[in-house]
Amino acid sequence: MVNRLEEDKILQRARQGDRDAFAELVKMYGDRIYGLALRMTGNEKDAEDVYQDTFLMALRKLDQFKGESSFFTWVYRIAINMAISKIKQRKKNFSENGLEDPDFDRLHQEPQKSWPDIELTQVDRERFRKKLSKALEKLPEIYRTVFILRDMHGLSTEETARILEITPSNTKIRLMRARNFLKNELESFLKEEGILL
Amino acid sequence: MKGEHHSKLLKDICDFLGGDLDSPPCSSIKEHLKKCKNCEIYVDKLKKTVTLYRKLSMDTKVPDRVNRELFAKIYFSKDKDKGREK
Repeated sequence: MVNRLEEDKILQRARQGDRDAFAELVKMYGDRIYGLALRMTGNEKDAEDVYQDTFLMALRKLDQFKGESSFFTWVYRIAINMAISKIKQRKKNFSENGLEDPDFDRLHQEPQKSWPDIELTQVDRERFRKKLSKALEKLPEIYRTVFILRDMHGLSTEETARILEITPSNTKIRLMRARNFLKNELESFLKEEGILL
Repeated sequence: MKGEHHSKLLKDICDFLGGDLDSPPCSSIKEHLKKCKNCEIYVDKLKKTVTLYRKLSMDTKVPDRVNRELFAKIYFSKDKDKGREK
């Protein structure tokens, strides 16, 4: 991880046309941008397109980057917009398909069993990763994007709302439903694995 | 138990469950969680779910082939720029 000062020096070189410097920036942030693209689009082919197009656009528009945010934040926003337009092109799942709120009445009627601390070594790591990814893909888009930005990438409610052009309270409702859905999916899987009885 | 979830509490709960799970909840939620084991367990499950997904997001690496292609495009665009300058 480089500090802001070092990043500024690399950026300066990149702005002067030094492609090695730009490649350094790609190496610094590439995995995070690719991870975002993969989770948002839900498939490798689209993620690769979003990833490459994001950095190529950043390269073309480098002159317009004013340095008001970090370079990563700037590229991150480009990637989110690219991923959203990719999903819209595909039109798959991009609807207001509703998810239910948690069933609070049932929650209080049936005794809940707590989960143990889950170590990835308890289940085959790769299989577990696939299961988590599959559950995420099952989430309707409007919920998935909020969950990715808020819980997987650590953006605030306000930042997420701004990027997705929705209200903060809508962001919270979507996040609550997404978390509840993924918790239920995970619970089923842990039962299948015999980790939960 | 059902009666406890009047609308104000429900709004607070939704706010909490869709907000920062690690931040201290508002007093009405704190009070409720103290006396409601089921809700306490539910919140713990949500936290564990989020933690697992966070780990998943840190695991992702760009495939080498994809980076090779991207770097080729980055350097190729420089050659094109040079061509335009001439």
